[in-house]
Amino acid sequence: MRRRAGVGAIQKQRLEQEKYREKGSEIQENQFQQMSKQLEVFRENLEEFASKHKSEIKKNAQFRRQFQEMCAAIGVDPLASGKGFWFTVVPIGKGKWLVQSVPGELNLDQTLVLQKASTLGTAWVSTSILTQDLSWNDTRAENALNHMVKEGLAWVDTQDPKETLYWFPSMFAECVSASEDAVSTK
Amino acid sequence: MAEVVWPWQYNFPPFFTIQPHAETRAKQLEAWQQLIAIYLKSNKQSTMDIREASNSPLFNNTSINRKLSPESILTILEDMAKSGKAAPVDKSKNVWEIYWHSLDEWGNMIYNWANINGMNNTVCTLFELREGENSVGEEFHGLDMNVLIKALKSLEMKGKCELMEFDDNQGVKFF
Repeated sequence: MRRRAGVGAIQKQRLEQEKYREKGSEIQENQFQQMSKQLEVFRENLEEFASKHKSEIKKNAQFRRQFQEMCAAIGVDPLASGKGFWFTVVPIGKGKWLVQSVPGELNLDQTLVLQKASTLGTAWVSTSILTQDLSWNDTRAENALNHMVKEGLAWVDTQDPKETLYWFPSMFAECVSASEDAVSTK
Repeated sequence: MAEVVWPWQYNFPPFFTIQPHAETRAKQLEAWQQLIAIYLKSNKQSTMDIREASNSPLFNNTSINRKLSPESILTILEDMAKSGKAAPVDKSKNVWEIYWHSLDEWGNMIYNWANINGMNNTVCTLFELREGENSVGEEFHGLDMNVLIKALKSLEMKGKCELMEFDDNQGVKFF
């Protein structure tokens, strides 16, 4: 005779599932917090680094390029300000520095978008690239991209025959070298 | 046609789409204004017909397959008009005058030149100003006649010169 599962067993199973879910989201939450924190620490270090090595960054073209790549990877846009961002690093207290060219916080999705554009080496991404390569749905991709447009990080290009492209000046080679020229002639 | 050194933006495809974000658009319009001024200056050109301009290399970068639409050109020119750098000539806003120097600047430039050359209180024709030997090498040499007259009128308002007509000719007397 086949034994039917009793009410108690079902409840026990449901309870376990709930516990798993709770634990799962707890772990996820922890990971997210840790990651955000790491990113924050890294950014702080980057800012401190920029202020310490200001003259070296200005003098050495190769060093400057590496530094800019690093900035792009973490989502700090050294070109957000026309003057170049090492000029806008201002002291706000004992050993604390404020980088004014960072327009608001970059969330994780935006960082992933920048990383994608950086890996592709195209200086642009599109909704279809994000949905295909990152397995995002349309809404997630559009939200991230629209947000970056609103923050002044991305430029919209509607003249591609297939779809709207989102361009990042900080990754566009000619723009980067133009700003290098501007810095080195100062 | 003189060679134009294109800024990096000219090869940046979204430069040819008017940007939706206000701050980005402000940067974009500023860069377009500079480029338009450089381009027209090197061609000694002061008027532009939007209907034809779309095909000019200035607004049409064939190497990246991007062009500025007539509506977008109008947006930029209307922005320039706000700061006195351009003005529509016809009511339908198809033809525009572009002042790569403001009318005031043109006026002062001509006035200084007249001063240095001891032309105060003498009358010279507008032809002399635009095409005379004395003004060769000056920025206003060959300047569009309508723009020249407007510049002199702004100078006249300040009491620094007087425009006059004689025979079939127009002239100006500097004070």
